[in-house]
Parts: sequence; structure tokens; C-alpha cells
Amino acid sequence: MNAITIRDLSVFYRTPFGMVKVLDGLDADFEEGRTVGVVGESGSGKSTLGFAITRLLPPAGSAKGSIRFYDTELLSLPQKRMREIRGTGIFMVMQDPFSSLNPVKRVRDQLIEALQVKYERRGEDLDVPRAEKEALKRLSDVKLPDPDLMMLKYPHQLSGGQIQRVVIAMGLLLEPRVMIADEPTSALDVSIQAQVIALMKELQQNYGMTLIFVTHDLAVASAVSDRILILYAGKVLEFGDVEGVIKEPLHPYTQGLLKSFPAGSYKDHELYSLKGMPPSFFDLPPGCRFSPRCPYAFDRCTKEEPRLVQVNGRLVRCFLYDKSAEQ
Amino acid sequence: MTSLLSSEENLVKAEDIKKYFLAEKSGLLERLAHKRMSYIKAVDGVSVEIPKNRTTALVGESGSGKTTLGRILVTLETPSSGKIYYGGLLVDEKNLKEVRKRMQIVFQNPFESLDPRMSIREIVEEPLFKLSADEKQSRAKAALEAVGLNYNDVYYRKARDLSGGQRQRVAIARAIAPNPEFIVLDEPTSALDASVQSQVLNLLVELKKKYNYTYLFITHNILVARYISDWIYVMYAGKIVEAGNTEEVFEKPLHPYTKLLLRSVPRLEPGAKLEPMEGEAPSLLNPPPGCRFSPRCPYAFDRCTKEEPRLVQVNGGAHAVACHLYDPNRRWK
Amino acid sequence: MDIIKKAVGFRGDVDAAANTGVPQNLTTWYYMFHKKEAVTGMAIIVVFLVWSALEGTMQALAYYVRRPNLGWVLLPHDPLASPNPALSLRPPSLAYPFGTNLNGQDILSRLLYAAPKDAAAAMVVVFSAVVIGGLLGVMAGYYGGWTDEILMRVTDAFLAFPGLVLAIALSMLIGPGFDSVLISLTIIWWPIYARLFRGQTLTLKYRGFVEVSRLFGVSQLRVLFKHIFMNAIDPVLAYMALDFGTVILTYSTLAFLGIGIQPPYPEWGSMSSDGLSFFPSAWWYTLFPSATILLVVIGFILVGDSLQDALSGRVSDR
Repeated sequence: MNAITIRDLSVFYRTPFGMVKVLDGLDADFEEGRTVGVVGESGSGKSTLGFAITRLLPPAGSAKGSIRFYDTELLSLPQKRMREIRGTGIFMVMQDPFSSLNPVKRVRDQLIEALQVKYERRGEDLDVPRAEKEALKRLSDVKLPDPDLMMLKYPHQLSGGQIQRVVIAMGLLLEPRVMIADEPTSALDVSIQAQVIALMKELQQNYGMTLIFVTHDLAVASAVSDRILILYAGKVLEFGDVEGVIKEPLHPYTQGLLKSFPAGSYKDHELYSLKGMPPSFFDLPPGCRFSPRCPYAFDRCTKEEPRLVQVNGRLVRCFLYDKSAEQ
Repeated sequence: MTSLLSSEENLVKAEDIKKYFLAEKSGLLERLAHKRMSYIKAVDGVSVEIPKNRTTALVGESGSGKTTLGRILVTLETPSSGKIYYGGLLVDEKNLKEVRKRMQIVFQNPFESLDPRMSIREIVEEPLFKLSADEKQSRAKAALEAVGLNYNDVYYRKARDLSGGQRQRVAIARAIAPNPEFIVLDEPTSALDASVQSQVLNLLVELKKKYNYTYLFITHNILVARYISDWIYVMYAGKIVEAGNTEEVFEKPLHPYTKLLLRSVPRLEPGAKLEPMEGEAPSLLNPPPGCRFSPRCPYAFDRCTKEEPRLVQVNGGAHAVACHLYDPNRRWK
Repeated sequence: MDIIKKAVGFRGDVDAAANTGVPQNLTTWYYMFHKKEAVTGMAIIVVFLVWSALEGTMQALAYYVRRPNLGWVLLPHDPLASPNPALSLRPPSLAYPFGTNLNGQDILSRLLYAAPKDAAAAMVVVFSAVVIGGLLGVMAGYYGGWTDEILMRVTDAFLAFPGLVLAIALSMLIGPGFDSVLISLTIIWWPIYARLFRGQTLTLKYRGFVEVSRLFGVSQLRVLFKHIFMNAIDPVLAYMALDFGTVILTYSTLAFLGIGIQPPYPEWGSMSSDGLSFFPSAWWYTLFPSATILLVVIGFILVGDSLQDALSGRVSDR
């Protein structure tokens, strides 16, 4: 059973210089109760994916295609119905902590508000003292110091990492069916990161929450996810079980990412690095988008874009595996 | 603490550095009423030695004091107490200017550290203001080429028009242009993507080899620290808890904090159980009595909450740890 | 042109923006020249400023070579013609596109003649305010302590009063005349810029590049100017564009109230107030001066607003 099913999703941004297509015909399945790590570098469009699903794209953005949340088609939903889904249906922890909280409300009020929404939707009454206790528990779960003091603070009094944790606490309180976390731990210390990941996993176990963990850090993704989706320049390059993707990566990009991971000492070897930089969406290379940087690129790669093909239960987009006839 | 190295090998030496920050800004009235000041003890009695031509890593999480210590070592901050020696010479106001000429710093966030209004050329030439225009240009050009950027492509551009990796290269170019001896790098790759990180780390290693720099590499990423450094200092709550030769510390981590840190770091292991650490980072205003790590330490015993452990050498070699488990006096009451 | 098209205009990905290789300046200019509002605003301003420069030069020339008629050589009629009851209160016609006033003088010519004064007021007041406010604000923000406290209290005092009231009071105090109006306007205008610069300085002084410069041994003065002031001014620029309009509005309001005018010289504001008593019968008398003020102020607002959008990246189509 898929919590989120994406078919042929394309996201466009209107700019003064014309339309930019950031996501291009994306297909992806997010199984209920499992975690998918969406791994991409800056400029890959990974944040855009999260915004598209929650329909929080900026005014210049528009999405085409299909995003199904269980049985409901999200893209054609009227705003009112979408609002009902956000929060307890789909919750997003955004990459930029500073824009996630209401600057004129205290932490306590925002957390209680979230709980209010949850209880209302379940048809239960909100018992304020109980809600406060729940909120306090979650704040200490995410290792915020002095949770009772934290409740009274305003967002501008908190550091980026602290705001991020408050938002995660809010997510934990809402017990959403789907949580999209966009780089939720990059601003956090390693020890707290481990804690936050454990909390999200707990929610998954207890409530069957589906987790979409968006990050650029392959190591964090491998610790958190059941499946990994590699995103590059708006296209899915590889998608499969975490064991397979990490131990036997198929796509040259994935292989490159894995090889760049710091290990050992500089005295023994130089770190592998992929040459070049990800392309701009205004200036995409012809054929396979990764071809300019690929050590295995051959003639066909610069002419045609490879399609996503199945290899041993994994999806890869590469001519090393796509043996279809040349167009 | 006993020295890990002989003094000729040290470029920078810091002795018993303390840095306390005022916790609240007290207004005039409060100051008149002699209100008791509370201090954040960011760095509380730290001594380090930075060996020449080597990379020393300073590892810790936020609140450990590593950034503050780094800034003190590069003279951007003055310690509340303690001494700094550069090349054997005690650093004071008289020789500060001279000493500063020989050190440089690279910050974590290249957008922060580059003036958005200046062209790349102006940025890299800035430290060279005492030289003639021709000299400035040739040095800037050399520095930019050394970091792998094409001078003609970038010299006129502004920082905001470059990618994160390129900006960081510019920051490095600016640091090497005045030919320093000592470069402090404060989380230089933490804000970069994985593939760019490797490029920058390789670059730093190459530059060090070529120009014989001495690096102080500050990071929270223990795996990067392991890759790039020869010596490592692990900091917690303003104190050094473990120090020594990098390979040794990684092979045989002694301090409970170091061990837990290594266990909670994500590596490329599918489904690995990342072990969160119990408790929270300690308050720097009122640190816990005795060993600062004791509230979270799974091995803590009675003495730990009463007495602060000293940094002692172990295994007769290049490895030191501040923990009662290893203090030879531990059987004493 | 193709290269210019290849740049990023949407919020978010700085790295993606950098990957295109187009500098931010070009994208800002491109935006300004293609968005309807920006182009309209700029058209109005350009016409206004170019005309004021031209006519202002002619008027200055007229004064120095003592040939007063040079002042109206470019105008359809003599703006200071002696009162002629025969031509009084004529509605708009081909000869007098905006009609005539009580004295039979051509309103269009008078408006054109008075234009340089408004332009001068806007330029002088805003630039002086930026320089004075900038200097004081940056010093206060950078050094803190007593300098900062004093500046804050002083600006508090100024900002506590509604600008117009203060302007009127000051003008009364300083005395009549165009120069004194400019002085009083400058005096009440600088505090807000001091505040803006101080705020910017407070964040800027902790930025990495300032610290690095200190380490290099760059002189304090150079750091203050090159790094702090030049960066602090960025967000202020869009505000300045809007402010030109506000100065003109204030100046015209003062003239409307009779302050700073020197009869028989025309002022947009006073022309508007003169015509009010003849409204609605001689509707053109007050309408055209008011409309002119409105048009010019809107022009600045459009430009300032678009500039703000362009610089903050909040761009979208239509």
C-alpha cells in the first residue's frame, strides 16, 4: 500500500527569463510505514519535491502530473481540502528553520495549536493541561534544554538548530501519516541527530508513519531509510533498497557519491571527487544530464536521455543498463 | 599538562586558556548595584600545541568551545586568561601585528566571509594592501590558480555569483595569498555538498604539501577530522577530553565521550543503529561539578562528580586523556 | 541576450543560480526593464529628471547672465507674465493645454517652471540624509556604547513627531525661503536613515569578512567605509527610491500650506492650493498641479517597489 504515489510529476517555475522545468516527469512510490531517503545535492530539486507534495510551491511555481495521497489526488484538490490534509495527513519539516514558525507566537502556543488541530480532526476535545504535558514531553524528547522555559520563548530567541527541533517536536505531536523532512538534521549536532532519527523511527513503529527524508548526506540517509532515491538535476537516477544502493550502487553518480565519502587518512589516499558541478536548469546538457561528469559516458549518453529501467528490483536511469534500441 | 611534543616542533602553543563571556548584558543600574555577573565559560583551562607543517584537528559539537578556541589561537579574540606562544614567542600587544601577518583563517560559511559587494579580485587582494598594484595582482592570480580557479573567468565576478564550492576556494585563495604559516580552518567543508567537500579537502592537503602550511582544522565531523589530520584534540564543554595522534585516537578511543561520538556518527552502513547519547549538552553557565561529562557518562563513578580529571598521558606515547578511568591515581581516594 | 536569459529568478537555490554564471546585476537590470510597473515608473522619472535638469540649467544660466527670459525659453508661455485679467481662468485649450490661473498665466508653463525645485528638493534632501544618517548610523552601530545611546535617544526624539508637523515648525523657526525648507526637511529626514544604517551595521560588524579584514590589519576607516557602509547601503537603495517621492510629496504639502513659497514663483503645492478655491468651476486650476504631483510620486513608488522586489528575489511574472 503506497502512502504517496507520484506519476509523471513536472514542476515549473516562472522566471523573468522564461519557464524552468525543475522536476521532469518524475515517478516515485512511497510505501506506507517505510522510509525513503531522497538524496540529492543542492540544485537537484529535492526541496521542490517536498513543496510539490504539500502544495506549498511559491507563486511562481506550478506542478503538473499526479500526486496521490492514498486514494486522494492532491494536485487537483481544492485549497480547503488540501489544508485539511496538511498537518495530520502530511507534515513537512522545512529546510529553512526560520520560516517554519510563526514569529509572533510563543512556542507553547504554536505547539498547542498543532495539538488542537490533531484533536479536532479526531473528534476529541482538547484538554489544555494534558496538551501542555504532551508538548513538554516532545520538547525534551528532541533534547531541547529547559523545555519549560523553551515553551515561553519566541522563535527569534532561538537558534536555527533549536527552531528545527521545535518543528520536529510539532511533527511528533501531530502524528502525521506522512512526514516529509527536508534536511532536518543538518543544523544539529551529531548526538542530537541520532536522537531525532530515533524519534522519527519510533513514530514509524508506533503509528506506521511514512517518512520521506530529504538530504544531501548519503550516510545519514543510509542510517535512516529503507529505500534510497537518488535525485540529480530533477531526475531520478537510482531507486532501490538501501542495502543494494549502498553496497552495490549501479548508477555512476551513486558510485561517485559513495566513493567521495571521507574514510581513512589522507596519508593513504586522495579522496575521490566527482569532477565538475551539477548543471543549471537553464542550461541542461543534451542527453543524459549526468553525462558531462560521468567517467563511463559514451556516445549515446550525450544524444539521448536514458529511461528508468528495472535491474534486480532496482530502478536505474543509465545507458549502461538501458539496452533499448537507439532512437 | 605534559607536552606531547618537544617545543621546537610547535608552531603555536596555548597555555591554560580561559575564555569567559558575560551571560547577560547588564545595564547601567545593575552595574551600579554590583549585580553578580554570570559568565558563560566557553573555554575553561585549555592547553594545546599545534605542531609545524601538520594538520591538527579540533573536534567537538556545538558548545564545546572549539570555535572560540580557534578564534583565540588566530588572535581574533583575546583570552580572559592564559598565554599564547607563536614560534616560541609570547604573543602580546606589541608583537600582535607581526604575529597576525603570519596567520590566516578560513570560515565555515563562505557567503559570510566574503564581502558580497567586492569583486573576487578585490577580495583576494585585500590582505595584500601593502604591496604594489602589480605585485598584488600577480599574487592574487597565483593564489586563485593554486586553488583551481581560472583567474580570467572569476576575477571580476562577485561572490554571490559563484557556487558554494567556488566561494570556499576563493576564501582559501585569500588565506594563502599573503603567504601565511598558520591557517585556521573553521568547519571549511561543513556547508558544502559531499562531492565538493572531497574536492576542497584534496585541495587543502595538496596546498599544505606544496607550501608547508600548518593547519588547525576545526570540525564537528569526526570522520573528516580523521581523514585530514595528524593530531587531534577532542573538546567537550570547554575542556579537552582526549588528545593525540589521530590514528591512535581512532583506533583506541579512550574517553567515553569519544567512544560515544564515534558510535553516533552516521557512516555508510545501511540500517545501522545510531546510538543517541543520553542526556544533554551541559550548561556552560553552571557546568556540572567534577567531570563535565559525568552526567551523561555510562562509566561514571563517585570520584567523577567530585573532582575534575586532569589530562594525562597514556601508553607512554602520543595520546592523552582526561578521565578518571585512566588517571594512575585513581585508586587513591 | 541569450546569455542574459539564462539566469535564475526564483527564490531558493543560490547554488543553482551561481551555476548559470550570470551576475546578479544583470538579472536586476533585466527585471527592471521588463516588468511593466518598473518600466512605467522609470519612464516617468526619467522624463521628470531630464526635464528638471534641462530647465534647471536654463534657470541658473538666466540668473548668472542676468537674462531672466532664458528661464522660460523652453516653455510655451511666460510663467511669470504680469497679471492679465483677459486671460484669467481660461479652460484647457490648444494654446493653454492645462488652462490658465487667476492671473491669466499658463498653468502648464508654471508647472514646468516649478519642476526643477521639486527635483532639487528630492535629490538634496535624500542624499544629505543618507550621508549624515549613514555616517552617524554606522559609527553608532560599529562603536556602540555612549555614541550609540546618544544617537538612539536623539533619533527617538525626532521620530516621535509626525514629520510634517516638525517640518512646519522648523520652517517657521528657520525662516522663509526655498533654502530653509530644504534645510528643515534634511534635518527631519536624516534620523530614519541613521536608524537604517545602524541596524545594518549591527549585523554587518560580526560578519566574517569584517573580522578577516581586522586580522589583515586593514585600517579601521577603510573597514567602516568599504565593508560596512557599502554593504549597509544595499537595502537602503530601494528605500531611497521610494523616499524621493516622499520628499516631493512633503515639499509640495508644505508649499500647499504656504510654507517655503516665494511669490510670484510657482510651486506645485501652492498652485494646487490656490486652485482649490475655484473648484469645481475652474477645475483645471487645482487638478493639473495635483495630478502632476501624484504622477511623479507614483513614478518613484513604482521604481522603488520594483527595485525592492528585484533585489530581494521576490520575482514572478505578471
